[in-house]
Amino acid sequence: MLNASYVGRSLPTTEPVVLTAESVTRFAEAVGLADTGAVPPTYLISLTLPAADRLIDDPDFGLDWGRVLHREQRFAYHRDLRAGDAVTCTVTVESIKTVAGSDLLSLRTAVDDAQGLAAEVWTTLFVAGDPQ
Amino acid sequence: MNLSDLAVGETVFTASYPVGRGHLAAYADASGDHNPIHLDEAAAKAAGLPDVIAHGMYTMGLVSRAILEWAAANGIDARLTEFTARFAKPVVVPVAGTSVEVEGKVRKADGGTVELAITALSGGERVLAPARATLIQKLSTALWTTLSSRRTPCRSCGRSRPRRPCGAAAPAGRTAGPRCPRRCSPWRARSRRSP
Repeated sequence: MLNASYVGRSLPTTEPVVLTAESVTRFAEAVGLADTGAVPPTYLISLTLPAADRLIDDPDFGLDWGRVLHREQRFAYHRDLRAGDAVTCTVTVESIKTVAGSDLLSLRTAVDDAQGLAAEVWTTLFVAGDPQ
Repeated sequence: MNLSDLAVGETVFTASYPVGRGHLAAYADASGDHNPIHLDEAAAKAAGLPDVIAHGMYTMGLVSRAILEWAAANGIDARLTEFTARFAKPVVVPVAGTSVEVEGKVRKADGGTVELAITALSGGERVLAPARATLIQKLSTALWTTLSSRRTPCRSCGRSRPRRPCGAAAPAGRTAGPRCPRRCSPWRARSRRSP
């Protein structure tokens, strides 16, 4: 069971991370996209999940990564990002819903570039409860 | 092609992509998600899965590929503004590999904005509750023309954004002008102002 008192809490904003041309190309190739220098639509997951590491590693939160399945994913793109841009991530625990002993954890990550909010990324994880 | 040419219900693309364990290993490296259920059969089985499964985000990546390949093949210059998927069933990847079939349909169409619903099948199972993608046409010359004509003020009340040219026959000596969405009478207001 997750610690529901974390709902509404945000992790400290990460240090700026550069979207390197190399990482953008590697990601584009991995999903079979033509490498145009544009950031692939799902690329930001490679930044937003590591940004939640502090939460995953927090023993008080109680998240066992071995029981996690990715349930839902949503991206809102407010500005085009390009290779070479630097962004920060701010992860917020948006909600925790408990259904039949398992938890649905929703995280929202604000991705900011130098001009402000560039994208929002929502990730919903299914966390299996203890087998009865 | 412009997004405004699309109609609701229209199927805009179908694509089939092979998925093998090599693809998952490359995706794990690119994304940093090295969860062993995507790479190692023993780990997947220990987690209660039938075999290695693809990362949900790999499947979503293939959906993005289908959208971008369709847009490129049709000369569509659009921005993706929203992209959502729910992972309904895992894509099971045996040693011999499998495939993912995607189909995109127009769910909503409003001028230069289109929402696609994209289904994905693997091994005969629907692996996604339909993904949704919202695309907005970038401003082409043609669209600028349409938009600027919409900005012509209503001949009667002077408000901008009339919906379409007024269909009413113009009184003698006047030319027909656009009518605004409030459907104000184009001629009465004019004649009041006339001496």
